[in-house]
Amino acid sequence: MVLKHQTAIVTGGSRGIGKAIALHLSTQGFNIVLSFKKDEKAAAEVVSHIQKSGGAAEMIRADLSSADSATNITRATMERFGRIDVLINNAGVSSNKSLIADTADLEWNEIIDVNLHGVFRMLRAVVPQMRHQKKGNIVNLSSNITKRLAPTFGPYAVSKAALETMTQIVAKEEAANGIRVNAVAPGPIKTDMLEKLLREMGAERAKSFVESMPMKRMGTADEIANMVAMLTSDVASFVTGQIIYVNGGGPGT
Amino acid sequence: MKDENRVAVVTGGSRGIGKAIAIKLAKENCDVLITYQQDKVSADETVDTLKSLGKKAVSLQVEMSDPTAGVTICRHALKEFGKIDILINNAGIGSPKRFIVDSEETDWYRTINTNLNGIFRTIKAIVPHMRSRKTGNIVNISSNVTRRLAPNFGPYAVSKAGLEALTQVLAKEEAGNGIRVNAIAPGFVDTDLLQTAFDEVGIEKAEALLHSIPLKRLGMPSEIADMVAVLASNVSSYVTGQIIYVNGGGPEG
Repeated sequence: MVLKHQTAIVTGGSRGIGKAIALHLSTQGFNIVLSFKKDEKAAAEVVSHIQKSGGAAEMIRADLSSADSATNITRATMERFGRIDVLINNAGVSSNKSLIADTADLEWNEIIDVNLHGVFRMLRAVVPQMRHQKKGNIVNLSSNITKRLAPTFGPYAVSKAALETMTQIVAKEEAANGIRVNAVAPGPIKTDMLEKLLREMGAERAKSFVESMPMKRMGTADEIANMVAMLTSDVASFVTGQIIYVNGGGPGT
Repeated sequence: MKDENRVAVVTGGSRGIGKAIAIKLAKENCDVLITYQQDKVSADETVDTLKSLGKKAVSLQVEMSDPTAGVTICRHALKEFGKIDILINNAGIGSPKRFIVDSEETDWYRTINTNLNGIFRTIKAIVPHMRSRKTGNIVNISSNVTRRLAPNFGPYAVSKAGLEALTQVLAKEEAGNGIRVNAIAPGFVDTDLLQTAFDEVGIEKAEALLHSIPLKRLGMPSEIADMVAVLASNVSSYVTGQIIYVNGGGPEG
């Protein structure tokens, strides 16, 4: 399953799940372009790790809430590698824990802007090149929250629900162009973002949260990367428009 | 099913489904504020009809994509009627028939901003009032498109999928405050909007579409209004967070 001369873009690829995806796709033979928002040091480490392992990687600073970041990422990728085979829309922001009716307009707008509009703009920038190649593969990172629809994560859940719908429609629209589009919806994964959330919950609630999961543990970023890599490979050649939950069986509530 | 005198706000209440909802609620003993975007003549006619049913009625011109629309609606309704029992988020726009990737950015933003963010802002403005009275009832108008996810209606479908997630999360969040939140997802309903769409696709495709509906006919605006009124009444006192499809059995494909 080792591929050559293919290029993958991973947004938000400097840390956590995005980093695991970038490293994994690199081992599959992809040239990697990763975008990062703030943490240049972390991004540089990922790039250097890939290069030391004999792969090719570039990094580009991009805040996906800004309108021109998608075209910047796409242009940089085309200039460096000349094609785009895989697009992983991983970058996203989470919401502060507030009820929908108490959410500040600014916060709502930022989450919709990054998690939904940001992916829309990436698709608009990248899909024409994939159509031109008659081949392409897109994986969007959703979240198990779309199944739980738990209180106090409203803006985040709304943005991801909309993203899943976009995934399913674009899959139908671009199928004839040789482009597959799927989403992976991770459950609780051991990342900085989640560790922070669990700290905020307090030890007791954090423990009962983990205990509520059928597998009694959080997932690892590598377990998400495995599924993403599978979807981008020919193993999944008849799979498009699907939302695959990688959530240890839950939590369902 | 006639409760005590109640006050209802119906956005986009001058025509089509919104008008039918306003009339039905007036018959159920509601004073009604309708909002409209442009068509003052229709709004005036609807207000006259509501008054002829023996209820108080006013209209308010607002643009739902305007960030201040929600606050304006809430303030106006409280000034006129002193309370709001029922909020029907009916106003919405369609998106031009295009693939998602080929959609104009302005069309994309306008659709999400009106159909999703506009409702978020209206809810934010009115829920505090409902919380203070420990009672309230919200019905959002979604669309059968969230089940079909057909190509060419992407921005619209994405906005409505976001709205359905919002409905479900909000229902959980506000249940403790005596506020119920549900959505109705109409199929093809005989309105000006649909007739225009049918004219665009041509008689042959329109016929085929009609034939694909199990009940072999369009819905009537009053059939949507009847279901909305049920959700807004005590008949549904244990119903919250639900998306009810009123679609003649389909089409699903």
